[in-house]
Amino acid sequence: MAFISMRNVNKIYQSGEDAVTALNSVNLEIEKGEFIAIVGPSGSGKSTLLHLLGGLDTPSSGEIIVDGKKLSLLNDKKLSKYRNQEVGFIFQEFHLHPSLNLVENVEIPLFFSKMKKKTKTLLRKKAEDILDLMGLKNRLKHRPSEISGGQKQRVAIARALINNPKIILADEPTGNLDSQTGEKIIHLLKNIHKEKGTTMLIVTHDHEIAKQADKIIEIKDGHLLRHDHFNAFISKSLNIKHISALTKTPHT
Amino acid sequence: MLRHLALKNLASRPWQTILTASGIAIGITALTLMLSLSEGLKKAVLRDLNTNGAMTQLTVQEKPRDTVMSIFPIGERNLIDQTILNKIRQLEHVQAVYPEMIFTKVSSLEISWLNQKLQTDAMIFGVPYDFIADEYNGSRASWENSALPYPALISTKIMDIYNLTIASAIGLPTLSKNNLRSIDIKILPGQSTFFPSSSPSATAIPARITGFSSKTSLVGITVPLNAVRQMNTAYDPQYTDRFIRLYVQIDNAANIETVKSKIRQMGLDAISPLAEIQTISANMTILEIGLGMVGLIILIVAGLMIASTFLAAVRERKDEIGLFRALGATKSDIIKIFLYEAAILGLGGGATGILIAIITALSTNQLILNFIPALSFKPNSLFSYNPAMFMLILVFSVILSMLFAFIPAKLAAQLNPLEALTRE
Repeated sequence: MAFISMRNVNKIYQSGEDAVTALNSVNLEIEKGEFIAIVGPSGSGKSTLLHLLGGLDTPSSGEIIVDGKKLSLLNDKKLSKYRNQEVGFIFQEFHLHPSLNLVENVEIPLFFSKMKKKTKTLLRKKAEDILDLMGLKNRLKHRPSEISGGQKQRVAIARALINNPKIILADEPTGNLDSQTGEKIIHLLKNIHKEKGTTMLIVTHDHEIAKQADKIIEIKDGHLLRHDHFNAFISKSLNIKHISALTKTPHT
Repeated sequence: MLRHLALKNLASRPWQTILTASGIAIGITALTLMLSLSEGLKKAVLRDLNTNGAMTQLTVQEKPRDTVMSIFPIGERNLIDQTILNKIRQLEHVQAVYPEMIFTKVSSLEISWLNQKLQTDAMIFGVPYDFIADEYNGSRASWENSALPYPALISTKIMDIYNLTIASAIGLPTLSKNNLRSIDIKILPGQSTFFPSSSPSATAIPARITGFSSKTSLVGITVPLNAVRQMNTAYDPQYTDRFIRLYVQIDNAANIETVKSKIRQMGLDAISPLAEIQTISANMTILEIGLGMVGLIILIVAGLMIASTFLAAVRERKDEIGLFRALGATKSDIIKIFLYEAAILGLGGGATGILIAIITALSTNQLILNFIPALSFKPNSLFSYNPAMFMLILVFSVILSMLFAFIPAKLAAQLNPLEALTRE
């Protein structure tokens, strides 16, 4: 069985009498250690896919299995543990806590893990080490408001990595950064992927980033198309109308 | 660790934190002051009762013939005779009986005090030496011989009344137990201003006030028992060996009720200061509850303020709650963070409130006690408090804060993390 597997997943948002289908009968398999770019126009369901995989949202129907765990069967405690231990989130908006300094921001996931029983010094050391790896050794006590966008995203990456997750879910991590800084962030994520073998799913609008991914998942109107490499994506994406026929499913 | 987050959260909103903690502090100040005031009043009242009437004492008198409990018409009142006195002396658990005799004619006193002559109506009471031994400065012989001038004691309350009224009105020096040497007076037997008909022609009897007693009657002077016996023999012989009251000393407070019922079976009235203390204690407890309720209401208002602050905080902190949930916080972690914050506010506000209450109590004590004249029953402090009470109030403050923060905390935990993270 694949490391991540989505079977016939639908996600419908109900807004009054209107129903918006964000994901439509999605079937997807991702192997451990893959570096995947998720592309598609705005509102196509890219972020929804990421949130479902990260256990932040539940599908309207279908099932999601990650590393043998059926997410729909996990209670709040187990799902929280899954988010804490197995997933690292990176957001476009960084979502750093404004009243905590950088090292404290990185420590947050530790507070909710079994590590919280360890001594404060030990947790601090772990957070400092990882910030050091991100090149932020001299900024440990700074507040998020005192650093640049690129630095903020590096703090967010450090926070995502602190519990050694198996999966990194990044929602447009370079969306709020200039192209040069964005490139550095992607470089950093690639290095982490290479060194740790972490499975990475990155939502992006940027074809330059998509180019660096092992595989590309294209989403349009809730339908999903998997391309094995960037060139395939470029050649096939024109035929997006036939997506469902081309989608790789667990049964194929 | 979650405590650390809670502290950081509070520190990041200093004004909100200070205002909420101030609300709790005001509530706790009110509660502490109310409780310590009622405790203080209770202590002051009970102290007065304890010193005046021993817990093992009964006061026995004949039942009045009619419902008018006047102290003046002696003729309307049955007086206790020697036979009854002896019977009571022989009762089990009775250690001593001190009879009090009254001169049945309402008299007046002529007091010479610093070249002023004052005349006032007064009753003359007589008691044995043993009854006033602890408050009488002279010897047993000087009391029991009843040589002229008769030694006399006045009620400490008379001293207070004199100090408050006469002394301050006409500029006479105030009296205290320490500065009183002796005041010469003349007893004018039966020469009453209010009961002129009872006035026989009589010669003045010299007496000397030598001290105060907390046990003696307010409406006259207390002289040796023999002195009153002699006066009654001379002016109203039928009452020579009759007593207005008997003070009965019991061996143990536990036996008071037994003795009391035996005396009542003899057709006499028996009153125990213990019962009086219990009644007053009960009333004081009611007062205490009342004052406590006022404090509690103020505290509940403060609690509602906590609830409203936290409800607002849940709305404001959606981002933070969503982020924490995304990073692995369980619902109970979110509740814990909010409850820690509430506990810190309760602890800080509570401690500040107690401190303010102590300062207020100390300064109010100073202010009020400076304005209350130096009465013999003046309490040392209007407020009474102790560390245990503070600890209890502090724990209460923390628990109450957490209680009021619980529903907002629960709402926060129910928030959809996604809604918080994805809102623009």
